[in-house]
Amino acid sequence: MQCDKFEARLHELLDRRSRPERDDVLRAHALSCPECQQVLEAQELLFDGLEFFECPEPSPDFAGRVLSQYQPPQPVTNRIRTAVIAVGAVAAALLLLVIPMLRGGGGQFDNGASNSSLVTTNSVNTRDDQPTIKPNAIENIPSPSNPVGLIADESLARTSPFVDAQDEIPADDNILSSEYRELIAVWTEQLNLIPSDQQMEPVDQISGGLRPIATSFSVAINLLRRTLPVGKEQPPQKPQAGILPGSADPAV
Amino acid sequence: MWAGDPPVSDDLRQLVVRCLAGEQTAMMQLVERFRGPVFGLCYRMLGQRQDAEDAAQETFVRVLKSLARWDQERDFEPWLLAIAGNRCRTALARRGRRPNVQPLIDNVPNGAPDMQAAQNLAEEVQRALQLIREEYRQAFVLFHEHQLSYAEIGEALGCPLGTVKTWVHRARSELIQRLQQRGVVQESRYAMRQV
Repeated sequence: MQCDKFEARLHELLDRRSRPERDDVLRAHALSCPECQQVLEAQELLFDGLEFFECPEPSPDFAGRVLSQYQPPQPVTNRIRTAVIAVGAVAAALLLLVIPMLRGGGGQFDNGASNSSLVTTNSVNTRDDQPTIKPNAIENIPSPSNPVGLIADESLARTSPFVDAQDEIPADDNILSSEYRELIAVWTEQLNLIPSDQQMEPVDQISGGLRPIATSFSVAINLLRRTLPVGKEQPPQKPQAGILPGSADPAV
Repeated sequence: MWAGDPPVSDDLRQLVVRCLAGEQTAMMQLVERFRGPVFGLCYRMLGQRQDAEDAAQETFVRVLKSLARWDQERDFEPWLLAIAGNRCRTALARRGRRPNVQPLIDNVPNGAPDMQAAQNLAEEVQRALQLIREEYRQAFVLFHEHQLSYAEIGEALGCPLGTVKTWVHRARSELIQRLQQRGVVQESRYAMRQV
């Protein structure tokens, strides 16, 4: 037997998980070839070592710890819902940033105590006396058909949240771009579809990784609602000073 | 397993179904049933008990999460060990691909032939195993310790059967080289023959 055949046979036996040192043909060749003898002995030693391989046991509470780490996967519908919310949050945040820029005047937050809604300045007319678009009830803008321009009166504010979106949108292209009007229309329609008493899912019920997005989304939606003509939440009304009969102090 | 036998026993299939239904006791049984081979592979791959335990835990968590994706027409254990191998490779990458192996033995004792010599030899083999390529190591351990066939290993590792064979052959050759470099082959020969 030649050495290359010895090696081929050796691997053949090892592939069958046989011990090569027990093979007569290999042993016969190894007696006449010191190099192959050494290979055979080394293989024998390696598999002797494998037979004495020891492996420690995992800790006794191994299975319990696995189960404590395991959280069942969310149902697919929940995952889709979460993904939609995340995408919506990003889109809403982008819209908030982009709309003022498109209008060229930038945006600012009016932090007044009575009205904290978003106020967008007019990009075309930057004079101080020009109208600004106020979300509560968009002021009527001077137009060719209405040169004077009517200023919205608080008393004209609608009491029903369900309105026709087109009613609230001024038609003057000089003041409002068509994209903006469409946007307002879409958002107003969407808003009308949502019952006014519907609450967002509490942020703490959303998985940890999505909480910042959900928080951003929630803030963005609230801001947008306030920006829309009918979306502004009514400020909490002070309770009527109900003076109980027989009580002189209204605080009682 | 005989030719024609289903690759997965009925009781395992039922166990998986119960796990998928969210039954905690079934999950516990599944972990208990396979923790030996999974922990064994992790220990051989990582060489440290704590790392091996962490990797084995991650393996089972992944397995439970992705149990629905297991093809029930295929054997369960190669799929499970493939996930364990992936976890071990991730752990090794985290470790910076530096096997943190404590010197198991400094000198092979030239003493009376007893079980200590055999255990020392096993430790030297384990040490040498840590120093060869991850692919060779995994293929070698799956073949020689877990008794998986070349085809099963190829399926688990996602590589052709010929590649697996080459890896196992190279693993053997490199292990012997390293044992020779450490002087283990020459010095252990006498001791082991007496065991």
